Amino acid sequence: MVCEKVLKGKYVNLRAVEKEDSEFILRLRNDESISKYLPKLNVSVEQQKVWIEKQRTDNDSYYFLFESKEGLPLGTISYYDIVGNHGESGRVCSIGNATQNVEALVLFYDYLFYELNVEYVTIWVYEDNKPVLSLKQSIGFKWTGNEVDAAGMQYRKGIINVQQYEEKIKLIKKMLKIG
Amino acid sequence: MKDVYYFIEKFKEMMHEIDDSFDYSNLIPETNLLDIEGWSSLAVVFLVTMVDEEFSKDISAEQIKASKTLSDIFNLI
Repeated sequence: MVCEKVLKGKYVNLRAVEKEDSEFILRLRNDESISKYLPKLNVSVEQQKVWIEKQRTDNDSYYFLFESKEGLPLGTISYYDIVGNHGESGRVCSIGNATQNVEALVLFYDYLFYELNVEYVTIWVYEDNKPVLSLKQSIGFKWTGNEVDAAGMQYRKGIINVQQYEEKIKLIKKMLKIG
Repeated sequence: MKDVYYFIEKFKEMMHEIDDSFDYSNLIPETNLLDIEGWSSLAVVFLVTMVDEEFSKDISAEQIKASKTLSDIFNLI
């Protein structure tokens, strides 16, 4: 699925990933310093283009790229495994600064909760990825349990609904000096 | 007097505003930012605003990212 419009913020814009973004995405995803906690994409640019073209026609995911106001690609974020009015968020990786990254999250969750009317969103975060655990908790995620992946790494599962998001978002938007 | 200890008190208040589930009583100027519970991109955003409001100084997210300790940030102010 594709969000047809560009979600415009003060510091970044969020838009649907296009096949032309393949090279940037692969570079990001295969850079250990940026995407340490995401699976590597051992595919070619052409294979990634095919994957993106398919994703755009699937009905169970949205895949976003966020870019600076000057059009420089910064990172990605996705809502996927959608079943009815809930799904999972992830595929987050970025070369943006803190302000850009936080606003990208705000644009993303505003879209999910206020335009798609999503009931709740789930995530999972590796236990030693402390900054992301803190960030997700700070925007309203509640932790529901711990599990271990196939490689033996512990991760935490979380969930957020619109009420939990709204408890946090007003102050966050004030700090970002937006909406 | 707005010295480094005043900054740390304001920093603690800021962190509690973000998430009040952590204990910040042990923060000192030499505390490494990456060791602070709850430290995240959002804390950086809040810190930019706090420094502007409390100290009337503009510091950037990039400057904060390049800092290692609380005193490094205070030295930017």
